[in-house]
Amino acid sequence: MTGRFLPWTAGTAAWNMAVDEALLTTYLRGTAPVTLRFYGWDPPALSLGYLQRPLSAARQARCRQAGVEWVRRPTGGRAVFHQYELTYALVAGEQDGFTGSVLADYHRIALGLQRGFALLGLPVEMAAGQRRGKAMLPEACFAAPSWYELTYQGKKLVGSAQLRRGKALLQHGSILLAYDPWFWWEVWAEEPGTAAVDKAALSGKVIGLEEALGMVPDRMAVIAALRQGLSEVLGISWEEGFLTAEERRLATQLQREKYANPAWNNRRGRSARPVMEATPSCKEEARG
Amino acid sequence: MVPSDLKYTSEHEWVRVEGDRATVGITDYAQKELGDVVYVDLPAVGEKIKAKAEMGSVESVKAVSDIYAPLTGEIMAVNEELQFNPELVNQDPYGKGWIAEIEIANPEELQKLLTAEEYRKLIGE
Repeated sequence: MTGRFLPWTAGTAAWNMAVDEALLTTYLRGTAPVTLRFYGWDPPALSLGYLQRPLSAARQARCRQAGVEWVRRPTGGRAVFHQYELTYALVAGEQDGFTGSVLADYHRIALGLQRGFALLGLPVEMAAGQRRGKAMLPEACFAAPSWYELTYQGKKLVGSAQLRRGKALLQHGSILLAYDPWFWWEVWAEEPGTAAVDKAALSGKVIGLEEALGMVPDRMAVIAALRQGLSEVLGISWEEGFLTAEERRLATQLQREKYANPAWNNRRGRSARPVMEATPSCKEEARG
Repeated sequence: MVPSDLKYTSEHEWVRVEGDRATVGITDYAQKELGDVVYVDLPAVGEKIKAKAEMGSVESVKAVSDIYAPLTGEIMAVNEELQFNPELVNQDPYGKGWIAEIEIANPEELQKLLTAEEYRKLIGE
């Protein structure tokens, strides 16, 4: 089976999310094949899970001050800070052997990534996961490994989340090139009820490739290895491609109307309130 | 588990029809495929919805999945309990895990829903 591979680019938070949703849309329309892409974020950005509580006004202010954008992803999961990292997006569906159970699909993709890391000489482990209720979910994605997420020496290296629409899925994942906690310390923390939890939760539980490999990772080498690993495990031969005119149009529209729009970024699903009206409580913090 | 007295959609919603009202939820098969549900994004009471359009979403530990309206109509009630106990969708998908109640606008759409037998075939039971 042949799939499309989109070469690495760095984009704004809104553009990155708009492109990924455009890829899922064209896949569902039948005008695009299974697609894998890797990308970066310029400027650095925070992404929130689709149903995560909106960013508080205080955190918004600190993000602005630090030059950090924020965006609400179309995928689930928790908050991810994108700076010294590599993001992947995989759009696939039933015809490519996906959309069985969420965990089964996760497992296949994780096996592909694990194979990729092995090609880099890094024997990463797969987290077994555990049954978790909403109260046990931390707000920050990297605060805890979940089912089939990849760890090295027990520390989380990759965090992933999915959107499932019809018979297709979009999976996002963040691979830390280096772990620098400055954002969590200086921007995310210092909010009543969360600072202590986040500091304790993240400390010692996260690892970047630089620490794991003992050298500064070459981004293109990492991408090549992961592309190869996903090819071997998923049985997909990746051919380099580009965004179609339809996808560029869609992405431009989604960027303007959705992902660069505060009405999207500061809401939470259908039942969201405007962020200024949000009244954080311990219960809501835990729900993330 | 596919109760015989309900109707179904190919997107794995179930429908219980009583008069001009339909109660809707996701099937036992769907909740198993999703895994542990941690949040349910409900439609709003009074919202007009169209059959096959997205009317909410369910977040499990690793994924967000859309919930599609099985019928056209107006949302008359939603299961507020799911805001506090979303795990009811896993524990009791056909009972306490119900999602919304719809006032049916086009009764002819009921004919397009799957019977329990057809749904069982779809999921290979």
